[in-house]
Amino acid sequence: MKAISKTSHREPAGSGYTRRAFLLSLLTGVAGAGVLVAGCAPPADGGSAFDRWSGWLLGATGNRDAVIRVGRLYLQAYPAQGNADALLKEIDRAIAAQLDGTALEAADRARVGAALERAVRSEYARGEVVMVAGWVLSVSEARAYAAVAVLSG
Amino acid sequence: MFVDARALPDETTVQTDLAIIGGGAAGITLAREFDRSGVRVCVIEAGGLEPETQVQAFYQGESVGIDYPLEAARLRYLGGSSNHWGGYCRPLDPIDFLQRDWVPHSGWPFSIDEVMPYYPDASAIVEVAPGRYNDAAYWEEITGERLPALATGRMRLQFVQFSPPTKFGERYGPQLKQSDNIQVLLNANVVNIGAGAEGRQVKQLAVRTLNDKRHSVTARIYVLATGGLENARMLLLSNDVVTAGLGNQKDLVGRFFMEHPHLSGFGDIVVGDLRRVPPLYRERVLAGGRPAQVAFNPSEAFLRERKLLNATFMAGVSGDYRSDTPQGDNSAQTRARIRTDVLKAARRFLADGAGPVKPQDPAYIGTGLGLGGACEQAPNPDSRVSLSQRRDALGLPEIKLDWRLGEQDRRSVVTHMHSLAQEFGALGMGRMVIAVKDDGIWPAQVSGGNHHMGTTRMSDDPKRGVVDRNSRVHGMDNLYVAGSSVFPTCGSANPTLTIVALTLRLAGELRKRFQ
Repeated sequence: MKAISKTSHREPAGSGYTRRAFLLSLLTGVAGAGVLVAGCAPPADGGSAFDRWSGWLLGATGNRDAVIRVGRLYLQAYPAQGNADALLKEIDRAIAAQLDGTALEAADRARVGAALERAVRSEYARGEVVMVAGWVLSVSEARAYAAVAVLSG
Repeated sequence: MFVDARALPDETTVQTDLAIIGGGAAGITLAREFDRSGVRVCVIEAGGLEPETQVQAFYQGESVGIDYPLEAARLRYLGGSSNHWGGYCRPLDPIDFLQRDWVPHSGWPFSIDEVMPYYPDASAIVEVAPGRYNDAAYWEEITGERLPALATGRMRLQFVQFSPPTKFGERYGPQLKQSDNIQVLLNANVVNIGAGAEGRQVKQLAVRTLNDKRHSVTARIYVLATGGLENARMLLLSNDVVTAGLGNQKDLVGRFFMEHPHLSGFGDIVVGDLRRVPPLYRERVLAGGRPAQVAFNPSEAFLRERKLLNATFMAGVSGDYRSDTPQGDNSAQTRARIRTDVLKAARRFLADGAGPVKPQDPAYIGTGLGLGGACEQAPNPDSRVSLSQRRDALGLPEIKLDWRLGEQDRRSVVTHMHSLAQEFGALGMGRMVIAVKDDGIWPAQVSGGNHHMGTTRMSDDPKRGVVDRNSRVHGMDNLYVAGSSVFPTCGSANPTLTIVALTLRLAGELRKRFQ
């Protein structure tokens, strides 16, 4: 899992940017402008596109640690959910349902971010929620935090 | 006219037409309805015009169930417990009056339609008129704030309006004092409701004072209006003719005591951007000169679907969260850190844009909303008032309260907490933490709201109720009960407004008797 995420995040927006990598970058943005999966540490040379991108995300608010901590609380409560691929697949499904037929790959980050927000709100409205340390969180929201936590190692 | 019973010659007999025992919200409202009517009214109030320790001590008693502050929960002087009420006003909900197959012993003898005509005048009496308790469009217009519709179908918006709060003794005492046909007998403790030999007619009230005077009051009609606890006690201790106590032939007096269980610290909400939460949702808003606030109530459809009891929740700003708050490892600090973590993690869902919500305060990360909740309690015959072995200063049995809550009460509360969490999530306003474990046990922090209901419940069937639909004690010709002790079910709205509305309705019934 970790290796895949590293590979993905080293190519943030180019042709090699996979759907999953796109989701991951989206999640980190969604989870708070400043979150990026751990394990994607900037390369030593510090000059790549990834370095610039992750530096911007990590430096924005420092929310990365908060997301990881909440994600870990979710994984403590639901230890069977610790598979990043499965988590991302479920999130993918939730987002796709909000995109009105637009392919996920074709949607820009802003639209996908808005779709995830709609998905989260809809889950609250439908009662698709989980309890995490007493907090009532939507399932996709909790999975997003957990995905970041898993990939952070 | 005010008369101090202590100053009357010993063994004075006051003759009147309508004797009202108790000068609280119900008693004063009823008396005012007969001002200038030609009906002689005597309000018999145990206290004076100000609180006194010696008098207040009569409200001591024995709490043998959920711990209950019997003395602190009531006030014994003119105006009664209206002297310390919070002013929360909202009618009961229509479903509160219905017989619900999932709520044993539920159902009033009539629907809300019977009470609804009295709510406007009751609203005026408690100084909140006009009542706009469920009119979202009105509050949107008057505040200029859009009120986002709730999304889950589980809850709905209601509007609590706040009385100043009206202290009935202060507010309406002068009118009673000036009235030609109303006499307020102060410092007069009714120690017995004296019935005739058949137990069908009240003949007189025995009154004693703390300076050992003994008086009596005779009337055509008697109304017991001493509050939801004392009403039952008065009937039970008036047992010289009917040994079980007046109106208690079916062993119902004192049973079915209900409160609105309140939970402190049961949960709170974190909000990423307070601008997303309309002021009415989180604070009292002065609109048109009158304060009001949103109450979150379960929808009737949801109550039916899940077979739950009613509830009311309100939110209030408790403080801001900041990223520079010191961190620590004790449990409170850990809980605080998780709150800020959730706020930071959910920021994308709770605030617009990537920049700080408050540019002038970059460390600001959100606001906490404290929650207040009052929930309906199901009628339970084992939750009851009875007489203690202990005696008060006049030698009468003190009250013994055994307040009990059940699993249906608890399950309803917890479910509605989840509903509230979902509503705030669905609106993108906040995230809620629930501090109450769903483990089948009532949390220790449960308390009451000083709402005492159900102990002389209303029913058309004498086997199921103490009073009939007109608040007359079953089997008695001239004894009525006013106040929340007649509520067969209590809903979740604060009771004062409904107490006043029902009293106005009772006044209409009594006018017919005096014609």
